[in-house]
Amino acid sequence: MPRAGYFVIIGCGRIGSRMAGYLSNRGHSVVVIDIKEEAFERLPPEFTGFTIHGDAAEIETLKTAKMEKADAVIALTSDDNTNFMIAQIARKVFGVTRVISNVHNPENMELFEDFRIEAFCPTLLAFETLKRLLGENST
Amino acid sequence: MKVIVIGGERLAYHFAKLLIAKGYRVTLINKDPEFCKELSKKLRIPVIHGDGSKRQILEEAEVMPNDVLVALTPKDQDNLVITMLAKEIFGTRRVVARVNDPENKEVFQALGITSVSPTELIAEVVSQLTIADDIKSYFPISKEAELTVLEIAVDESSPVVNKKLKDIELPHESIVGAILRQGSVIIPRGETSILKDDRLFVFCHSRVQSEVLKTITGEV
Amino acid sequence: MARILIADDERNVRMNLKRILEEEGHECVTAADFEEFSRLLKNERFDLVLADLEIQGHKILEELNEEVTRVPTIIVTAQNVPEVAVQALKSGAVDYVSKPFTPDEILEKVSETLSLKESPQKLTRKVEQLLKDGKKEQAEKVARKILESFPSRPEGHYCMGMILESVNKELARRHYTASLVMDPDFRPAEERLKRLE
Repeated sequence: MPRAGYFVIIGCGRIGSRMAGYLSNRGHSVVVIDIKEEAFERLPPEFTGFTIHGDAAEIETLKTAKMEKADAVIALTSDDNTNFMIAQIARKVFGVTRVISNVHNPENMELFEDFRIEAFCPTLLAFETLKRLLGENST
Repeated sequence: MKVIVIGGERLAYHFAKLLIAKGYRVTLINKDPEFCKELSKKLRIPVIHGDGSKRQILEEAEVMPNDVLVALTPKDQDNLVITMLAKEIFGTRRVVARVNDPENKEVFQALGITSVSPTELIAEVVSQLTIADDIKSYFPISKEAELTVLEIAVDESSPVVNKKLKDIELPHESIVGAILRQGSVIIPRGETSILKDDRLFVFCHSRVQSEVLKTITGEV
Repeated sequence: MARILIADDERNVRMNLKRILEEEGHECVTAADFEEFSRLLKNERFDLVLADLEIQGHKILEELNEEVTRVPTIIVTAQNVPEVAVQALKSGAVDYVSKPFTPDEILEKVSETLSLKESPQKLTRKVEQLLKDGKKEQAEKVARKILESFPSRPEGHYCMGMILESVNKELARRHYTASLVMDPDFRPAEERLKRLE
């Protein structure tokens, strides 16, 4: 395993909680932030990281998470603009080199690309998978 | 040149009205369809219904590089996306964002966006009101540069009354920039005498402000 | 590699610390409750302790002060306020990490502490013993080491004061005063100073 890293995940939904468990299991330190405390109930048993209950759009919350020390920040909130702001803050204020964001609305992919933020869109990924399953990929 | 105002409910309405009265061309963008109808009826200006943080909507509003764009939505993250889009993609240089959380000013600044925090403005006014009694008020101009402007009223008990400015021993890091005397402004020289009921405006380094006050008012 | 005792009532924190430290080759023993922690600390040998300030409501720096002072202890806590850190250091802990911590922070503090091996309290006792035995030069060496390793702690100046008392009262007085500047509640320095004056 490469050296143990420090990951900050914002949004403890289905993807966030799963990722947090996986990274913990790989021996990394993980901090998960969510605005709703109940969200942490989703965390799997293998999760050994920290949880911070707070609004990630407030810089104070991000400071508490020691974001400046993160090897990677993963923005997974349910709002694309919030993810965009978190990504910008992580990069420009905290100097984090690796920032990855979830994008809900496929139309917003362009925004993230324009600002060179690594992003993925579950809808587009599902769409690609579905195309492949239907054998539509070959053409 | 036009002014594009995005979001902001009542504030947007009154702001737009003010701008129109001053002769500016104004375009409004708002998410609330009912409010859009009301705005276009009352103001007779282009009103676009939609999410201003979307590129198509800004395109529809014909955002141009020499426009002024003001983002007033209640969410800081939306205002950030709007202003960054305008600045980086549409090349609009003059963009202003409202920040609701004053701590976010630092973020907007780091990203090169001018921001205004209503919370902070109100807090500022309140603190001015509370410290500004009749004798003196303080205007910290810039925290970084530690520049302060003091407004000091001179009464008969002041040790500087009837003295020439050049004879008053003020700290080196201070200068009397202006005197307000019976409603008119005097830019003082060394020969200018200080009279009772003058209001002095002193520019100084923050570290000498109490020394300046002491010299002029005689109070500690 | 070191033998480390980890005590925290949060499972996640124990697991996380254990993983980070075992990866570096340390041997880790974990304790989830106060009784177990106290038993392990009293009966087994450890090179280092990583513990929360409070375990099941027990304030460990107060209730286990003697042990914490004997074994180098790093406090790991969510209370990231300077006052808490100062209090922890005063009560005998050698270092302090706030939660959430990064693996690097933990590894850095652990290796720093292990290289010092000894707490300032323990070193102070060594200085006292050396002085009693008349080994002044050696005592001075240890005192300088304390000053160097724990520059913001009172013990270094306190030790220097003791060493200098017989040769230069004025200089000794200054060291005791410096010690009290670091920690106004540091009784030994206060007593020595009183006796001098």
